[in-house]
Amino acid sequence: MKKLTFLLLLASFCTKAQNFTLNGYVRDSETGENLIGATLIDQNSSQGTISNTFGFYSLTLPKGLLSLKVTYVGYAPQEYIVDLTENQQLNVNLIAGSTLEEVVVTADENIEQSPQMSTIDVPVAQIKALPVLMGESDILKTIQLLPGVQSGTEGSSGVYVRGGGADQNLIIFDGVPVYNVSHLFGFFSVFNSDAINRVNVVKGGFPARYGGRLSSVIDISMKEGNNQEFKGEGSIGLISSKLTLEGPIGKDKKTSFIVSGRRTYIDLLTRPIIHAASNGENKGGYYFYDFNAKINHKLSEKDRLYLSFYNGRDKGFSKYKSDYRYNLEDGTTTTAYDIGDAGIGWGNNIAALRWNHVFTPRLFANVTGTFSKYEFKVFGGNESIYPEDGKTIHNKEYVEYVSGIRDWSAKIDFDYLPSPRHSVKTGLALTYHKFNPGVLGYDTNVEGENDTIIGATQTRSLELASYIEDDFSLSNNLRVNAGLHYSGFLVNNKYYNSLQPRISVRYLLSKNLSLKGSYATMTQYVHLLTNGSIGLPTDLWVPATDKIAPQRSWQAAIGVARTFNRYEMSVEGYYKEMNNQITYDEGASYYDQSADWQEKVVVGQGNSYGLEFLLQKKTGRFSGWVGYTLSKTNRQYDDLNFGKRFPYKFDRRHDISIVSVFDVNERFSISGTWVFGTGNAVTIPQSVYRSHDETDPGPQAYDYYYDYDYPGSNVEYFDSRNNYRMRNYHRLDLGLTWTKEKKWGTRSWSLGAYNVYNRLNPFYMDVQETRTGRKLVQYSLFPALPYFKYSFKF
Amino acid sequence: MKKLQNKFSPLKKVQHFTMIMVCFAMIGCSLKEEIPVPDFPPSLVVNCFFTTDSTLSIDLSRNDYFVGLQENLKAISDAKVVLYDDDDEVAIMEEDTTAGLYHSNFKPLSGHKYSLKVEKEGFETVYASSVIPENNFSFSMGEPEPFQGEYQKEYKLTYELHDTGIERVFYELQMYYYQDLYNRYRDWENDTTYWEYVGKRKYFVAFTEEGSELTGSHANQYFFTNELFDEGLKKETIRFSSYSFSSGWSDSPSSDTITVYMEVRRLTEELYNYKRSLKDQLDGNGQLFAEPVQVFNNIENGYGIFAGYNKEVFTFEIIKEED
Repeated sequence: MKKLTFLLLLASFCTKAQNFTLNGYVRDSETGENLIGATLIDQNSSQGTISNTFGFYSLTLPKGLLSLKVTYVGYAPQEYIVDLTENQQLNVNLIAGSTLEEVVVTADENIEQSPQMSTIDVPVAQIKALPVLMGESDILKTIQLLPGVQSGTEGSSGVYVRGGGADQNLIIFDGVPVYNVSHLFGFFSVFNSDAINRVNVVKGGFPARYGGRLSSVIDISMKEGNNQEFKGEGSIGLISSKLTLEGPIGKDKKTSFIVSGRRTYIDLLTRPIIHAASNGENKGGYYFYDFNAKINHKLSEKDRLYLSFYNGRDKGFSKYKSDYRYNLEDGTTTTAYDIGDAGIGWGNNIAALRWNHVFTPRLFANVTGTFSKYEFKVFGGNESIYPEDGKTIHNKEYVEYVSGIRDWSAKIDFDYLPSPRHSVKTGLALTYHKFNPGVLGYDTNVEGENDTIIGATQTRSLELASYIEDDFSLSNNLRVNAGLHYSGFLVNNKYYNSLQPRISVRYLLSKNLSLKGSYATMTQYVHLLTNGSIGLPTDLWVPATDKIAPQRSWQAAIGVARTFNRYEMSVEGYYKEMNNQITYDEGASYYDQSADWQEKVVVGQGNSYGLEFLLQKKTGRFSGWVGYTLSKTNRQYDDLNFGKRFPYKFDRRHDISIVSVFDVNERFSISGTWVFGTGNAVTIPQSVYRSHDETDPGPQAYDYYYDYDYPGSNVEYFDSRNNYRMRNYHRLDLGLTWTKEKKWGTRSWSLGAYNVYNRLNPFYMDVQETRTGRKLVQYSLFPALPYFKYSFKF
Repeated sequence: MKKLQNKFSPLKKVQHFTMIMVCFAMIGCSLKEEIPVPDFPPSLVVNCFFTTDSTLSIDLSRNDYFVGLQENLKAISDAKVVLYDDDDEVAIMEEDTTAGLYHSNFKPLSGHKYSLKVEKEGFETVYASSVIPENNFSFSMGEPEPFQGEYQKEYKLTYELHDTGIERVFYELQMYYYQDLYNRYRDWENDTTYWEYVGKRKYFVAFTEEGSELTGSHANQYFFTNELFDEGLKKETIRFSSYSFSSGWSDSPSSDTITVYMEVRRLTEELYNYKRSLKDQLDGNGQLFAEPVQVFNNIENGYGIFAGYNKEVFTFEIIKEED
């Protein structure tokens, strides 16, 4: 009887609801590219939804006539009249609008509507339009211009979000974490903007689907490839060139591909100079390249398969060969040779296979298998060849230092949209990590020397993550995104786990103004051991272990968001606490291979709080943003600075960025960026005094050299870690672009300059010994640097 | 051929231009300028380790700016230095013939707390206090065992240190020997060398724990706490090289043996912190990417160290062998 009552109630509910679902994909009409985050609203009921990472949307509404409006930034909106009498599929193809036609171009979901805060979408077109170092547009350097996001040192692509470290950013490329994002010691990032579809930055209020890092999520989606016609674009710049090709495969256009490559040619330019300067004895150079490829295939209306791949590498090398003649005891002359090479190299390999399946119009699933590998290697070897006792002797020595990390991961994610008031996401992921925190190897055949390997201890671990979140409306004014993220980590027979609640709330104060608040806890099972502030590839990725606990944080934020006249404005205040932060102990260096990394680190905590302001305009002839951050960030370790709190090296009280792109007409545009930041905190001695001389100096005897323990050495005194502020940083970049339509496509000439007014910004500080005593010296990296670039598109 | 050359001439121009730009960029990387350093006030520097078997003396100097020639980094004379035992004045220390060196005839006792007050015109008065830890340990060691190491003759020595203290205590081991020293004079006309005996000098012996991964990491000072003691006992084998005695052999031709001293020190925590941090700072100086080290300081209104320790000294003989 109870069962019958339940069934009747269920039937009654279903009959009363009379809901049907409209679902499909939102794509670019010209390229077939998925449009992520497009807004679909039924204007009759004011109910709507947003397309997901694969452009899929699902909107469940009561039976009836819908007036569906679809909008996406940079595209002309489209309206559809749909008679919803059954579940229906409607694929929407939007037409890219000219940025000059302000009337037709709209933004995506207004900032005040979403419960999500601390999230910024950076249009790729803006990234490519901004003036940059040596003409290389760079995603991460553009992200550094956002409030709450700070750059490291001059030129570095390191990203520091709300007081977090460079390792606390989950940088995912097509769903795969990328561990080292730097080319050329951090001056360029590994992401080729020509191959990118969308960049989304989350600084706080993290949705439950994200986990594994404390401070930010930078979600980068690669283009899928034009499925309508063969297209290409490329550029020739000062130090590198790149080419991207994309198009459909097969007449049915069910398959498309994109390949994109970039390479620097510094080595080609410097090789002849080095060769000539060394009388032909030396060769050397440096280059980096990256290669992206993706293929996607539509198996059916409900199934789609994506295979993406990235390979990037930096390599610096030098080789030499010299010969010399000498006399033997028997009076004859012979020749000996010295041959050597040395180098440094690092890079990532990434692969992802993804399968989308639409189980029902309301249930979308994505299954992903990924592989990510980062490896750093520095090596040097030499061979001496000489005759001895009638034989030719080959003495070889080779030293190699290798570190890195490899991940294999599998995950499944579901999007379930039961009604316009609920958008549920859930998923499960399992990752196998293999850490190699530094192996030093020495091989030789020299008599009396032995092959040696130090630090060859690999650590393997399993990481589990699962989540559930719901974006739901409690009323027309109140919308909530709430969820739980659970993660576990198994390493050295120790299991860590963490349940992380997340919530973001939006309350509409008026039509275009909302109040937002968020709270999120995060856990991170990997640490980055880093010396100094340059994003060196020598930094070590290490896991949480039975001795070193995972990093944990919580963050609360509150703010207001408003849209007016195509401008979006947000003001947010935040407070964040981070625990189990590791750093090298006093005096320690990664160069020191005599100890395990766990013995060289100290564990502490940090906090960060601040206020962020952003005024952004994404569309129109004039676009860009103004960002300002007022913040304070500290660290505290019981074993450093005598346990006292000290400013984090990238504690930056004021951070301002003004970014603008102005399309004067269809053929000419001007872009500019101005940044200002409080100087980085560094440790500089303030005073010197004599130490205690414990040795018994005894009588001073002439003609002897005494090697005893630090007698009366000078002590360098500083009252606190990071006690000194470098000079404030500011810089203006300008760029001009001329575009012309040709028979074969479009070509552009770009001309500009980095650091236009030649500000000598601090890169690092050093103490120099001179005849007149010690001096504190500031080194700067880049004066005013002009650039040019030729780009084409067909 | 000419047509082909013309075809590539723009490429050459681009190459030239690119080269100029790259050179410009490279020159930019070496921009540097001197930065003025903010003023830092002068302060007194007190250096004093004290123990039970000797009179107490301090070395008084002053600090200087980090930049410049450090010309002001010198001894301070004519200061008033007062020593207290549990708040009772026990000595006004007098300056030695060596500038900045102040002595008293007072011999401190273990378990007592001593304080210091130093006044000097032009400087803020400085204060410091410390104790001499109780001698609550027992130490024994075996005979050194010579063996042929990878490069030269080495020795192994096993010791046991027993300390049942429940609280955290701090130790230091030092090995050293004394060597006769001579001044050498050369009479070039007569082709003769003259030697003048001038006294003895202390030489430290570097040693390492057996099993250490790198054999090159011998150190002159070895610090540890009782945290890893096994039920109050530390049993260790140390290793040292005959190379440590090389000057001893060559300059003591009349001696067949060298007496080596093993000094076991029980330190106060402040002395342990000072010694460790000073060693770390000096070891790190000049090392690429080494993290900065703050040296421990327990002088109020000034710099330096005023700290006590207790010690026991043991000896063993190293017999000279012909190579």
